[in-house]
Amino acid sequence: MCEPVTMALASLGAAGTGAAVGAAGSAAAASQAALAIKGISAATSALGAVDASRKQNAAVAANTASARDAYFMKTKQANLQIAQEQRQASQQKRDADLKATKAQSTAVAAAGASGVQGVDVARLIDDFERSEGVLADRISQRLEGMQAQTEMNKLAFQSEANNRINSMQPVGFAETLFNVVEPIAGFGLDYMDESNRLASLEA
Amino acid sequence: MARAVVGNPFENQIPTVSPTAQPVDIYQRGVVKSSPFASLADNLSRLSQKADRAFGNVEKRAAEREFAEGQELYNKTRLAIGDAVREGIIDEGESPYLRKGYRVSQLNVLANKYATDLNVALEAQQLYKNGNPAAAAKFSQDFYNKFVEANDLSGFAPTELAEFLTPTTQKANAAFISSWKTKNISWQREQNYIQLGQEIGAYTDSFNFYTGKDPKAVASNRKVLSDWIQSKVDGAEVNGMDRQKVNKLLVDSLILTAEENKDADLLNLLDDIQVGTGKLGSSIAVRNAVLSSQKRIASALQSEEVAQAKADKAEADAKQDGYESAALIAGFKLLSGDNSGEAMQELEASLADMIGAGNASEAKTWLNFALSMDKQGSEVADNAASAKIFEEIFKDDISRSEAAKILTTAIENGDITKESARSFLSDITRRLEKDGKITPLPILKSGNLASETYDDFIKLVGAKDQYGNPIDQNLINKAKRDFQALYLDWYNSLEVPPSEAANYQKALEISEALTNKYVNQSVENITDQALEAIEISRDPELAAAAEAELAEQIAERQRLQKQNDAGLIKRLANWWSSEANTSAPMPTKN
Repeated sequence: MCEPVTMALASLGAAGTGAAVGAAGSAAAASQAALAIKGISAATSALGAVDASRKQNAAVAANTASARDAYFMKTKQANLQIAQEQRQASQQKRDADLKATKAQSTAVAAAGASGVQGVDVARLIDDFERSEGVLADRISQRLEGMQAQTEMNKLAFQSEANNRINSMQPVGFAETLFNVVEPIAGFGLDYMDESNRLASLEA
Repeated sequence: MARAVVGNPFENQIPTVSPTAQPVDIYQRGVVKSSPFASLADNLSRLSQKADRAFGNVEKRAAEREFAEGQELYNKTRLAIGDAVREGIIDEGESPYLRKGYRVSQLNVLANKYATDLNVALEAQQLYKNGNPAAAAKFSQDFYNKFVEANDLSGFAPTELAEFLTPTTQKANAAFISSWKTKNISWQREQNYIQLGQEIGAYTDSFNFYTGKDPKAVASNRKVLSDWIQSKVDGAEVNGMDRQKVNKLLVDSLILTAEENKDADLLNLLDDIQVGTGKLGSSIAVRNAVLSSQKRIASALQSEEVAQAKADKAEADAKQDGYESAALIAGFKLLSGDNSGEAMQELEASLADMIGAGNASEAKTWLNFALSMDKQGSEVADNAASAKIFEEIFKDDISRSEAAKILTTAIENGDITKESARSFLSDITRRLEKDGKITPLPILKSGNLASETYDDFIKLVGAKDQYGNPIDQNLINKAKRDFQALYLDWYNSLEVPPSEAANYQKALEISEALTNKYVNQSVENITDQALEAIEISRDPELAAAAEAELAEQIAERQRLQKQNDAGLIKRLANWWSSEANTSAPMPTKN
């Protein structure tokens, strides 16, 4: 690859030589000085293009890592939340079971003390059991809903992470190469144009 | 111990399942991965802009160099061809440069003609009155096409046309469009005011202001008209028109309409129109204009009355003229011996008309005239009376009535014969003008050569002879009558009035013809000498020659006198010498 700084210095040397000769007059000297400035500008543009590519790629890598960390943490917390919900549901079911058992025992004891037996006592105890079953089913339904929502949230976390990662694109090698070549080639064209112009003036 | 109450522990404690689903966003924005080819293309695109400019400059410089070389070659060749023409190697007519110069000159002429004609067309055809820009553009294009058709351009190369004709025509077209726009705007600006003035003038002029002459209707009409004018003024104000110009238009239109209709009341409308913060008719300038207009209207009305009075008088005069003509003809018939009674009836009718028209005195004059015409008059012709009557009638601009009075008096007094009266009547009728006046004859009207000739002739006839004897007056009167008759015959024979020179010539002829008849020769000689003296006195050259001749005669006389005196002195000296020699010597001078 051509070294931009070398080319710029070469153009400066040519400008300096042109100015030293002074045959083309002050206009030609000014023109050559302007050409030297263009050469320096082209060299710094090429160096800037390389540096910009490197920094761009570093920023892309950091952005990708950050996005992945954020996704991991959000997913982890979501899993923890649903586990806690499961524990809560389990405890609620156990409490209901105990409450039903206690009520049944109280009913049987009270019926026995009163001398009441038969179908009515059995129906009362069945009622307690059905109520407990209904409560347990409601708790299960709620838990299932929350689990489904958590799965969907994790999918959204994934999409968010992808968007964040894709928001910054790395600069490829070829692109970097072209960005370096462009100012140098442009300077070459300017140099050629100016040289031809001066030559036409001298002719 | 109280008995335990047994109930369902879940009573009213079983919750319903609340919703837990929530929407989630799983959108992922599409990503275009950067392509090295796209980057390459992008860079090349940017580079190509510089490259285009750089390579374009290369081409441009090459073209300029080639053009400069071509120019140099052209000039060199031109010089060489010029030398060849001067040296006679090439004929002038064959020189390509002269031929091209000729064509270029032609194209320049055509280009200038195009620009001039197009500009003239804008003015002559008043194209600026059309406000459509497309029409102006189409006209310029059509004009160019017609110009090309009218002027054969086939002999010119397309490059020549493009170089020497097209730029000028394009500039002319652009100037035409620009000029059209400027003129159109200016014309439209003026037309806005003109049209507003015409609209106000036309509406005001055609407005039936005095419908029914009912005061209420007039007031209502005035309100309608003032409201309409007010709406036009307000509209002009809203549209941003110049208030001063609009006011002037309005004032001028109303004043013009008022003066045309000679209706000063229309001017009061100006006091009804509100402009700005006041009434239109309240400004000093408008009040002055209104006052002047009112004066003009009053003057016009007065002039109209005077003109009507003149017309009435002219009509009455014409009627009187007709009556007098009828009376004159009737009198002529009576004088001619017409006893049919018709003449008298016509006379009576005309006299009745005169009396009916309030001209009783005139009627009396003509009645006397008619009655006198029936008289016989003198039996013998009286030249003196005839000559006098002739001069009274034909000398000044007298009226027909006055002439009738003269003839009436002459007949009644028996001064003239009936024949003479008839002759006079015939001449009066012949020389009657439309205004009832009798045209005088030039020989009787002072201030012309013919009358001077006539007067000179009469004086010549009446001059005393060489012995101082007066001439018979009858002879003079007869000479007058002859002169008058000859002149009148000649004058009446002409279809158009003769010129002064012809009058003079004829008077001279008559004078010469009658001189031999009426003038004594001695009188004529004396008169000739007198006339010659008068002629000399009136002519400065003749007078100078006469004075010179007289001076010469005096000088000659004095010279002779001196000679005589010298001879006398000499004789006296001789005598003295002879006497002295006999007595004493003469004293000598030291």
